[in-house]
Amino acid sequence: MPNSCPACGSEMEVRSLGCSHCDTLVSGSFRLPALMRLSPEDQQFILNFVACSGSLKVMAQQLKLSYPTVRNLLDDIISRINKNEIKK
Amino acid sequence: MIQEILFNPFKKLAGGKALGIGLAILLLTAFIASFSQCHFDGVLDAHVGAETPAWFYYLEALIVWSITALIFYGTGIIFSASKIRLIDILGTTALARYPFFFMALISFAMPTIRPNELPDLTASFVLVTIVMVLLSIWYIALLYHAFSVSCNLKRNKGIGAFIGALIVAEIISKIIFHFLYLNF
Repeated sequence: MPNSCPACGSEMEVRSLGCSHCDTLVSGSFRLPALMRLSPEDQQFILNFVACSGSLKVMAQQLKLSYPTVRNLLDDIISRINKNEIKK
Repeated sequence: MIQEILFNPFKKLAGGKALGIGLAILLLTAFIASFSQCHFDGVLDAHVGAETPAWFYYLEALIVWSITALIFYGTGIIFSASKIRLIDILGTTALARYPFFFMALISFAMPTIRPNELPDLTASFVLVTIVMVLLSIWYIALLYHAFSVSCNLKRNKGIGAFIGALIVAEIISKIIFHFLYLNF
């Protein structure tokens, strides 16, 4: 799912949501949740992090990276989340 | 892949593993240096010629490495927003010194320079000197990546903090070796 506009690069918003059961359509302007505003790679990293029960050590072993490299990736994601929240 | 091994192995290797490998290389380098009379008497320094007891070469290597690591750790604590680990800095800075293994080897080809005399500018002297400079540049590149990965300091802030830490570490090492040499 794209989170930035392919034409101008701005942040995308959700304009309508539909129910697949009763065809109800809800229209408005809904900002994407914080996690959805991250890149697919960052989202996958967070999923992997949760799947490893929050252990950077286990993640480092799985990704075959050093512990500080994985820690730095996490800190960079935290920084991007904080920047996105400030833009609100 | 080769570029990573040469300049930034720390993406995949840090902590205790890097420390084990780094210390082994450090001690082997000191062993070879004791025969080629190559002294690593500063964070960036290497000098060939002065005769000292064999244990001095090991002491030099351990002092320089530990000073570099401790100054990097202090710099990381001050400037980095990440929770840095001393073991990562100890390991990566030890491993970053592996170009000095080649420097200790190539020092066998360095002609003996007598005190208060200028060396003869032979082709071999010039060539060995150029190689030593290139090895030093390689070491600095490795050391920067060790610092950057271990402390999570990048770009302008990382470069500035690295240069500052290197200067401080070099000054402290020079002071320590000054008093050490005075007593020998």
